[in-house]
Amino acid sequence: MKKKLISLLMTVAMAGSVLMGSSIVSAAENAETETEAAAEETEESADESTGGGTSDGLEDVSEPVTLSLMVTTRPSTDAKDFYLDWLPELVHERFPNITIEVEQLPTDQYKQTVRLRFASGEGPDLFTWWAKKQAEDLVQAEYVRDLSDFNLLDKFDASITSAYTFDDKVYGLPLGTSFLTTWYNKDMFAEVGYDTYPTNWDEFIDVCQKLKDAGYTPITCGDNSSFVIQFAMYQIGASEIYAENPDFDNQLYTGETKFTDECWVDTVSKLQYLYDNGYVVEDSLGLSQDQSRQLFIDGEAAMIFDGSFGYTQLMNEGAADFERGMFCVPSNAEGEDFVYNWTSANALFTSNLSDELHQQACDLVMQYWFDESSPLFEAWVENTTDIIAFEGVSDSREMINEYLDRYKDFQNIDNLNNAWPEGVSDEMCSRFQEVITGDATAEDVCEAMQAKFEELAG
Amino acid sequence: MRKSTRNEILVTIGLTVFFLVFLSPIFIALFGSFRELDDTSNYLQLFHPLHLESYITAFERMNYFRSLGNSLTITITSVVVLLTCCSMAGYAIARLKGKLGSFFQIFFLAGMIVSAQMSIIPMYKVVNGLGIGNTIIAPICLYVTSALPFSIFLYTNFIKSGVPYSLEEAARIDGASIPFTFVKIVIPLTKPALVSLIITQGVPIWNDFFFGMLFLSSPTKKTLPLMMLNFIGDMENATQWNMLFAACFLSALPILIIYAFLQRYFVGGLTVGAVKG
Amino acid sequence: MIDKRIRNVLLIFIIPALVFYVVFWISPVLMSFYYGLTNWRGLGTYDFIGLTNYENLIKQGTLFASMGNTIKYTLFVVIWGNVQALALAMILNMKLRSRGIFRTVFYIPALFSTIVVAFLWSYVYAPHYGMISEIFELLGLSGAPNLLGDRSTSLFAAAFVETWKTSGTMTIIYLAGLQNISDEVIESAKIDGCTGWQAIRYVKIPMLSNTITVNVMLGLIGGFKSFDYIFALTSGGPGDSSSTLMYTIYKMAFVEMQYGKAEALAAMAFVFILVVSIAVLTIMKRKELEA
Repeated sequence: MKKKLISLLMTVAMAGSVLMGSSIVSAAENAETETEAAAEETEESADESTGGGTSDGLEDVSEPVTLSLMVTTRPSTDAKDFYLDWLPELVHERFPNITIEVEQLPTDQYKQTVRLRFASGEGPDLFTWWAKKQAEDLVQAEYVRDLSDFNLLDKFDASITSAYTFDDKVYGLPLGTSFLTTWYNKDMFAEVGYDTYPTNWDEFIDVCQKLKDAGYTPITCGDNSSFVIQFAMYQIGASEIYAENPDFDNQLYTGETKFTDECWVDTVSKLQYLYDNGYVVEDSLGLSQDQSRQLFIDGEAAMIFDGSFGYTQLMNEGAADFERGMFCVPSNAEGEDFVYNWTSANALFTSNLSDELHQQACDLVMQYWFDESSPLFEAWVENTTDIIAFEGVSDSREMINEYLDRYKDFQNIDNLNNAWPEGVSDEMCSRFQEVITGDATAEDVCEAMQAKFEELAG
Repeated sequence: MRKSTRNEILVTIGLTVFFLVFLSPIFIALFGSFRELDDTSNYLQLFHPLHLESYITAFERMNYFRSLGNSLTITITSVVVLLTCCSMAGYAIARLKGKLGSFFQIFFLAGMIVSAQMSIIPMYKVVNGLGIGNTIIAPICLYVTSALPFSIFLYTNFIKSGVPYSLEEAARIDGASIPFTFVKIVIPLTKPALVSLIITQGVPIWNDFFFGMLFLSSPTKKTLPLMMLNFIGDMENATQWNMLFAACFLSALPILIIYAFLQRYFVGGLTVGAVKG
Repeated sequence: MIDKRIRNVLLIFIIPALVFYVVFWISPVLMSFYYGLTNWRGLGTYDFIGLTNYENLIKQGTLFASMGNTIKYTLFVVIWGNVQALALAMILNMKLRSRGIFRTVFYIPALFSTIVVAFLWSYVYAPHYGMISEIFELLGLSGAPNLLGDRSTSLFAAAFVETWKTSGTMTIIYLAGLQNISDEVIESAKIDGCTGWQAIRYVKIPMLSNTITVNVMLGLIGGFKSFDYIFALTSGGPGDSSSTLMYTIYKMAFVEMQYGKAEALAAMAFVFILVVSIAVLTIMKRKELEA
């Protein structure tokens, strides 16, 4: 009895100390944010006096209104987040009648919840969503508003906006782009005699073999999180499929092309080759994406198939200290055309189901957000993790700028699954896991994809 | 006497070793929660310098006291309503004679088989139709309903095996009404079942984020597990594990304390005498 | 006469539960069955297509394909879960001075949310620096199993986590059941010459038969509805080797957006699980009477 009491007391004491410690810190932080806010205010008034912003003349909505905004989970740090903190704060400051309630959910739950809310007649007023095929359903069901008349639309990169255009109408404002890529350990590459990245398939295989011979694990893959298989497959597929036929995806729908075509079988076979030759970490099917990323930053593997979105994670310090680089897997033969991945990340959509007052408020928010001279715009540019595709804005990360600049003369392709009905990519990943375990062939993967495509596209 | 003391020591040591192994995954989380925020190196290396950073950040990001209040309100209300409904219905089903009793038993049992995932769109429509969308009433109703089938099943079983009908009959001959015998005789006798229902149904309600996620959109109404969901990543954003662990302990702490108090109701002898009647 | 009045009072007792149950459970389920007759994608408009979904599902053999894994998973959860919980409950029911602490500790796994539990176990199972492979290394052994990455083990690796997490709940129910067995019964059995094991086998277990029924049903239905750990630990993989019924339905409804078809599959699964559950329940009840 006594012991129990003691252990209870200890628990309570521990909890108490945690609570107290944090309340002191939070008090200090509150003070900090207040000064920040004050600084922001002076900045803003300075902006207003110089004028020139397109949102300066806007008037607040006539009565108080609460907007719901949904976003996928934000990286949680102790710093202020754009969606969770800056956006509601700055909008409310500028338009006192508008209050924004932000809700964040992890991707799988996010998709399910947003669709569910729309299906039962009440979607979020503002939300972010993905491109092309993924947005098509929402557009066709008339859940989202046509934004073709939005006056700042021409500020966005037209080639990116096209991913949200259906029947010549624009439904989403692109919030940025991202690319799939291969992160590599420059130090290990240098050790086996590669001062640069490979530019064709033979070089790529050569570097893998040399790394393996030198006793390194060439590539790590977190294949337990089956979606990572896409990262590798789409990089290989880029040159393999689209160099010769950029129109491959559209032709899937007319039946002119099929997943069972040679180019797709070759794509899958090339990825299989990496596994068959022991270039990929052993037991990859038991590794999660997080664990695989950790192997890379700990210097346990020379390469990882990932994306520009992995930047924060992969630049983290691990057990080993080394220089990182990025390249897109060149599946092209020497002298043949190379294609790299670059895709629209997501866009801002507004609900068609909201009443007029809410829609009006949404318009004001968007006007303010994308006005280059507004503090909100500034906060957006500073805090976003995507690569912004907006006139006159460039990314602050040198590695990313260098990458896009390096490949800018080559053809690029979206994430391949943007063109497919959802479900085909899952089928691809599941079947490829069977290739890894030795229970299926590249042809099996392609046939299963074609079957799933026909089932879902019909 | 000496032999039994030695046995007790052996059993205690055995149990301690067993639980150390059994709970080893929990230690990973416990030590992980005291790491620096971005230290994601091998979680099996348990001993790092202790940092409270994760707890402090999680505490703030979760808006701890507000979410704790929401969690308590929702869980307590759900459990109270659930116990009221299920004990009444469970008792009635146990005592109904003939086909009617077994019909209701199967009727409610069938509800266990339905996975909420599958009828979630219609559920959403029902909730909106009743005008209780985005209020805490919505998750409460669904928690009660989804826990009902199993609770009724367990309670009915417990009464049939643990509460002798003769006691009630005797009371009835003395002129007691059914509600009276239910409250004065049946409820006290079924305390172990009721406490095990509080724990086995209350804890999942406390931990659940599914109904909350769907039915509570305002940040001010969210519960602790819903706030925890914010630390979970996806294929592009990495999960903030250290903070998630800290959040997890912060969210489990209140029920651990409640549980430590409730578990003494399992100590034998509380009801046995009466049941033998 | 009196009986009828009693019956009416008892029926009134059922009403509150019935209201919740019909409004929030029965009516949505009936609506779901209706969606099973449509080609709804979970968004926008839809057409009534009669039994087409059922025909397609039967033609493709989807129900039976995912049924195999579900049955394996369920058997594991029911058998291992009950053995583990019964043993724990009996030990925790002994008169130990330290049992207060142990009775708090054993319930800890249940206090954690599914997502965190799944993550922790991914570190137990992981190759390279997972707990199991580290232990193998420590003992100087090679060939640590890659439990999540192997087609023959991934399903059971996930099922084991489920039994770990639910052990607390099942044990509590057994503990509550053990309260109803008086010490005197055990003592008198011992006086009659029963050994400790015989007392458990021939006295305690028969007296617990009712509680065993509850826990078997709990494991059975939990196993049939298994989704969380498959979703978080294996995503049904490698390949489809750990894809259970509920995971298949979820993927069909919310990833492939074949909502109508998924509801048809759910309806078929419902009927199947109901029949199995009632059959098991009837058998268990008969055993109870024998005991």
